[in-house]
Amino acid sequence: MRRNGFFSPARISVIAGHTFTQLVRMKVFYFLAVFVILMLAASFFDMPWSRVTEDSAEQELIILKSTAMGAMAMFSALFAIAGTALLIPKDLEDRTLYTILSKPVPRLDYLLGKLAGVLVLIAVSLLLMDALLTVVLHLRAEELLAAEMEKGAKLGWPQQYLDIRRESISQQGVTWDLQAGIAAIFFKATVMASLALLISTFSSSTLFTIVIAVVIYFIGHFTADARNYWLYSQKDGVSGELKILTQGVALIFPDFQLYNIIDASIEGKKIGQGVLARLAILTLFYAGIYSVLAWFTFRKKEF
Amino acid sequence: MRILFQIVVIICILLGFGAAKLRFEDRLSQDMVAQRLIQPPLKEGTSLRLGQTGAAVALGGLRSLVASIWNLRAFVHFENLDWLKLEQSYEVITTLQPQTTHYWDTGAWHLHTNASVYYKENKDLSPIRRSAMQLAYIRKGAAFLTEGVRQNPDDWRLHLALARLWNDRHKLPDPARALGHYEDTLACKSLPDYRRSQLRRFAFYVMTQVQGREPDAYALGLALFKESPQNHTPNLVCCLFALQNALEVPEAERLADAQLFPNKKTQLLWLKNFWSRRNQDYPMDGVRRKINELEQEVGDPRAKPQN
Repeated sequence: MRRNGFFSPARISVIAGHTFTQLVRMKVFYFLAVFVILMLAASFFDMPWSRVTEDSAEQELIILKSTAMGAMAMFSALFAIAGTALLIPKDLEDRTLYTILSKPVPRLDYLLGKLAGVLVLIAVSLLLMDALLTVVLHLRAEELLAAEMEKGAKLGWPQQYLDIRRESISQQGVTWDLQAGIAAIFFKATVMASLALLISTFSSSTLFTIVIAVVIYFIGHFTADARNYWLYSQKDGVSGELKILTQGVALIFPDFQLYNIIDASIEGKKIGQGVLARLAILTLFYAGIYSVLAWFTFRKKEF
Repeated sequence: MRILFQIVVIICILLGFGAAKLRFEDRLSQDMVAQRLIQPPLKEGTSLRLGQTGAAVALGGLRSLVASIWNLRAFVHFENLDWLKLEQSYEVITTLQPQTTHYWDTGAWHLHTNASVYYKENKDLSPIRRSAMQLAYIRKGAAFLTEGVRQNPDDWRLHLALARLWNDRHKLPDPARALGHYEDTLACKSLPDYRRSQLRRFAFYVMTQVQGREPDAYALGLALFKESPQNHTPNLVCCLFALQNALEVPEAERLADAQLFPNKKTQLLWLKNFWSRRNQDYPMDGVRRKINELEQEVGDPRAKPQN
């Protein structure tokens, strides 16, 4: 008799594929229609500038990017939490869970497959939104650049200034730094999805999972403050309870502020590959820990 | 009971792994702050003003989106001439996006120009109140720009905005202060080369208006004049002409009129235009006398200056 392996990528990918199909059937991609409308509206929307400044063209592109990336971040965070929270209760309701677990499928494989399915769905959605953003942004940036160059030619701007304007507008167009921002959105969603999966393994209801995950999401944005307070700014007069609280927050919760390079990428700042790589490592660390802990509570759970 | 035990175990494991990730996260966070990739936390007052939703969105790394929406609100306040709300809006916007020059510049412009002129021309107010409010808003605009400069010390546009503000004779002209800001602008590494020459000329014009800086102004003007024919602008040439007279530069060291001006007719025209701006505190030593001489020589009755 062949021994059943503890961890099988093939098995995980089958469960992930099934989860992906299951989620697609929930018509989540309808959100993309809303995104298309949003992008079209944003690309035609003229911000009522009270004053035309040197960088008005760049500001228009920043607004377009911030609208699109705001929608991407919102979708991915909501879906990472709600989509993952629904998975185990849905499988229980459909009785799919019994069918799967009655077979020689290790529970870790089941959990990783579920998580991978959600992440694939988020990745596909982000890629589609990214493609649309890239097209719209490219067209708008080219249009603004052409208008600026025409204006410069009429006003007799020196070549050096024309080059500076070209570079400045291009930096607000389609760049790798923008893709780094979108990667950060995905990383953040990965952490949230694995956290929601962990909560759902011991939670009694979907609503409870969502509420706790959202609370942790908000606390996670204050982790950096707690860590800075603990490591750098504690004073003698501070109560012991406050010290313990900040230490607890800094140690237990993920630091979501680190993923806020999204704003920097919208502003057209350069995001080094080193920073992105370290962020990816941290994401893998969180996803790994939460998945193992989810397996710890799920491994002997009775249904 | 089992769940409670599991939760306790999970928290213990998270604490253990938390200790492992703490330094990594801290170093990454410090690097990101140093590279200005993540911004400092919002001030308490800003979160209150943003409201629950806005603060939540801003917290989630979408400050630029919230700032854009608040920029729209600021425009509505501008249309309604609600200067207090406009000021508050730009405080929120610049807290959200402290590195965006556009917001500092536009917010300050609304305060030191639009709001101050609004109060200056508001007939419903007493003259004393009008004047007080006008000055108050000019100072608010200046303070707003100064804060922008404090947060973006190498932003030449903000330094220049301050220099222009203190050099604006319709506001609170202070040439010494304006000169300081021009010098700060020129010291910025971000200043593009093609603007440098023009800004040095502006610094020279302001320097001529600062009492006691005339010798420095003359040295700078002379250097600019010798540096490039592009600097031979009517204003620079006329200032140099007047400074030579004011400082009683010895004949041997002076730039002759023929060197300064293309010809006598142009000299008369340029000096006449320069003389018409005598309320702008430029040095005017010997200008009137020279105009009279040239009028005699060139003989154009239309060139007579109105005194």
